Amino acid sequence: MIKETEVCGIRTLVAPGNGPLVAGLVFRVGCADEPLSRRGLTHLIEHLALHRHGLIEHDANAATGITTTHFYTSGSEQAVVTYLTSVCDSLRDLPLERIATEKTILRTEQAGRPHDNLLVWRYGAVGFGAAGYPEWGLEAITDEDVRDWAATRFTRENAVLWISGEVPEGLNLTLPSGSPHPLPEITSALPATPAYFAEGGGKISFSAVTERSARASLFAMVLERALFRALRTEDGNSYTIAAAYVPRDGSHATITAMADALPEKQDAVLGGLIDVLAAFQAGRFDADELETVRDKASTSLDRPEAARAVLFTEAIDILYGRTRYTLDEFRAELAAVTVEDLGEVAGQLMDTLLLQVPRGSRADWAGFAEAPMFSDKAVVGEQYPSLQNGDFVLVLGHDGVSVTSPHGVLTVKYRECVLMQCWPDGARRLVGPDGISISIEPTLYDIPEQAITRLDGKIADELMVRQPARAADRIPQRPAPAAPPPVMKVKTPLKAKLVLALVALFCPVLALVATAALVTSDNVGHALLHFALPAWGAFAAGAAAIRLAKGLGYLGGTKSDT
Amino acid sequence: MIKPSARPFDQAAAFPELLGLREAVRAADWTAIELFFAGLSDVDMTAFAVNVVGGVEGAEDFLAALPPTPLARRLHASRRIAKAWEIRSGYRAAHVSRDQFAGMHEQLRVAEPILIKLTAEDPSDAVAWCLRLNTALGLQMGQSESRRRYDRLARSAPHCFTAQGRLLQQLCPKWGGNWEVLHAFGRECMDAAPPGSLSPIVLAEAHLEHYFELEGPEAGRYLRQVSVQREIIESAEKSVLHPDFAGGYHWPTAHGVYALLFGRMGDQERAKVHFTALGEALSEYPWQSASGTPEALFRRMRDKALGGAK
Repeated sequence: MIKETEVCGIRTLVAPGNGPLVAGLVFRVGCADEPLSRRGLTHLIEHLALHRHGLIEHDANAATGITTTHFYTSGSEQAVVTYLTSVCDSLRDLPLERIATEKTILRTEQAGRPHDNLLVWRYGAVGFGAAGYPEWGLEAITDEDVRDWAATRFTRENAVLWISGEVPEGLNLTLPSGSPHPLPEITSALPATPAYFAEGGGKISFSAVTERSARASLFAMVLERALFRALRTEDGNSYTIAAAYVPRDGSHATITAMADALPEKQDAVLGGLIDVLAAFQAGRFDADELETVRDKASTSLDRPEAARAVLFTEAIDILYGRTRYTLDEFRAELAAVTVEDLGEVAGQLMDTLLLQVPRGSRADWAGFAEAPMFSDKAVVGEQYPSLQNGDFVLVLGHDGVSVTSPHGVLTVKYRECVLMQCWPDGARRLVGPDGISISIEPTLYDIPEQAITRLDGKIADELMVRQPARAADRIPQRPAPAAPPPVMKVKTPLKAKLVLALVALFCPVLALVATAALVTSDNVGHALLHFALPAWGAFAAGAAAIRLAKGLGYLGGTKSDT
Repeated sequence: MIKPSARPFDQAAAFPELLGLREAVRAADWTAIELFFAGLSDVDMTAFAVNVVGGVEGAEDFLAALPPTPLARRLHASRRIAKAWEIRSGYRAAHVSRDQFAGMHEQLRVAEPILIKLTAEDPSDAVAWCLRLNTALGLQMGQSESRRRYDRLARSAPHCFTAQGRLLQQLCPKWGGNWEVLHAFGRECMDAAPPGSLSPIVLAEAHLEHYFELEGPEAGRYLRQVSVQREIIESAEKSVLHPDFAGGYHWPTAHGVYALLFGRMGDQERAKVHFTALGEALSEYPWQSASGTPEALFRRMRDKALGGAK
């Protein structure tokens, strides 16, 4: 039985435990709350909050999620009290001198984590979409940002404490007062679903948004089993298959699935996955299969750690503003799920599905719309053709930046821009709210420095994130100018050159003399035959000699090497 | 408007009931069509008849407007696929224009979702799987996807000659495959096949495709290899020459493959058996694949095998 109470002004859920004391403090703030230009701020604060606690001897940690940040621990009363007190004390007075060091640690942690394409393609670069990006705001985060974020988000009213066991003696947690924060607005970068996009390779994955319910969570388990059976057991084309059901907010959950594939098997994994989804659409669910997952779900609710998981989920639901469910209600809901229910969830899944296929693959043949890769139109402004590919033109306009190409245009409007990364070598990357990004590399466009300065003037300061200098090998090489057509050079011996030049000069002279002779001669026929014709012939030969000499390249002239 | 077929071959010519089926499609007589298919149980015969319906130009509107029974949906998909290939024309990819490809893909993108749904509702719908091998080929879904589709079909129809012949095409180098896999597949079909069935012919077709791809003396040398000849003879004996052989609507193709192979091998004795069996029955495959006009080739080779006397 979960009891709702209050500890030092913090809403608290307490349930009797059957092991060591376990407790968690969860805040309604996560990376979906961060603007992209401050992406990483919450995670940074989580790290700073743990710093003073030093090396943690007992079981304790923290996690920054999409919509929540969670500090949790288990151990003796003393250990739990010390940890939670230390976290709250730190949150009120963060060790700002640690910011630079923690940023480095975060960059290292980031390096091992790919960003979540599915979030970005679904939501764009704001809200839940921003959570899909790497921590691109780290460089720009100031002491002021950290203080503000901690003071407004890590507050009593924006937190819930949960305790599995008794409330420990002497627990005195002090957090600033603030206000509860609603979840970020749901945005969409998808005009039509089901949709697909092609990026990366080595796996096929998808996400979908369904209702939050027992039947949807059972559906995700049935989905994983069906994918495993089809793609691995039967087709033998995948090794790793995973599906997950994760609540997104009070009313909706995200179902994700992934199947890996060797390059030569990607097409078959994609085809197999689409057929599994189609079978669900057709209502092909096995009643036995439902019983199997229902058993598994019910059994897992009996495990000791389930009680804690339920406490944590309920704590989050308080933050989401969702009506709390008791465990018994959830059990009853699980027991009532029918095969028809699974069919209904399958319908919701397909209606919202976003599929990621390997680069070069398509899914339009299966009725999936292509997720938009391009903007509607380009801005008007100064044009800079790409030095790499003349079909691509960068346009710096009054109200935005575009890249035009034969495939489509990309546009980021200045007033909509959510982030501009700036490198000391002059490179810029602008990101729009729809997730469209434009990279400006001075080595790839002949763009004057003043133009970059003008661009910087158009973007609000807080959106600019100055990046450290890049290693030379990370800067794109300026493409070599197009090679001129090869010139045939033939070495002509000096002697030959002289002879040719003499012939060339002599022949026209001879022709002129002969013609003069013809004009003054009495016997035209004779003169024609013996002087003029051979002489003009000689002229022609001279002309040919000049052409030859030119062709060989030593009379100067039309062809050059430059 | 439903127009008469413009195909160079009349694959239905040898079978009066197929001519009747085609007339029923032209006359938009759904009852007659349904009755015809109700009387067919063999997968390969059904697939053949579905193809005949697909070949009726202009029938797509009629078929699309029918109540969506599995049969009507199969026939509609088959018509879209045939139309896709009519748009593409029979030329090699290099001679097909971008517009033709776009038009072809548009038709196939209508057919494929119909077929996805059919196989989802009934994974043992072998005819729908056969058609999905065509869409996979036309939409260039790659080797692994075609193989997956074949394997799915083979779970319920392990010796479907139609599907085997289509996968065989996909395994040809001209469609991204390779000879080694192609011949291995031919062998696999032959070894697993019940005696007297059509499946052993896949092995002979593999050799025929290989032969078609070679040029000049190399082609002749290919068919003179003892190992190749032995496999062709073995497959003929296990299929068309077997006492249990029936062949359904595929018998003209079956004999045609061997008539052409033995004729080209110079084994007129063996070729004669198949030409005699064929009579006037000229099938689309393999005769349209050879160079020159198919009728002329057929007659020239037949005259040679039968010694000029008919």
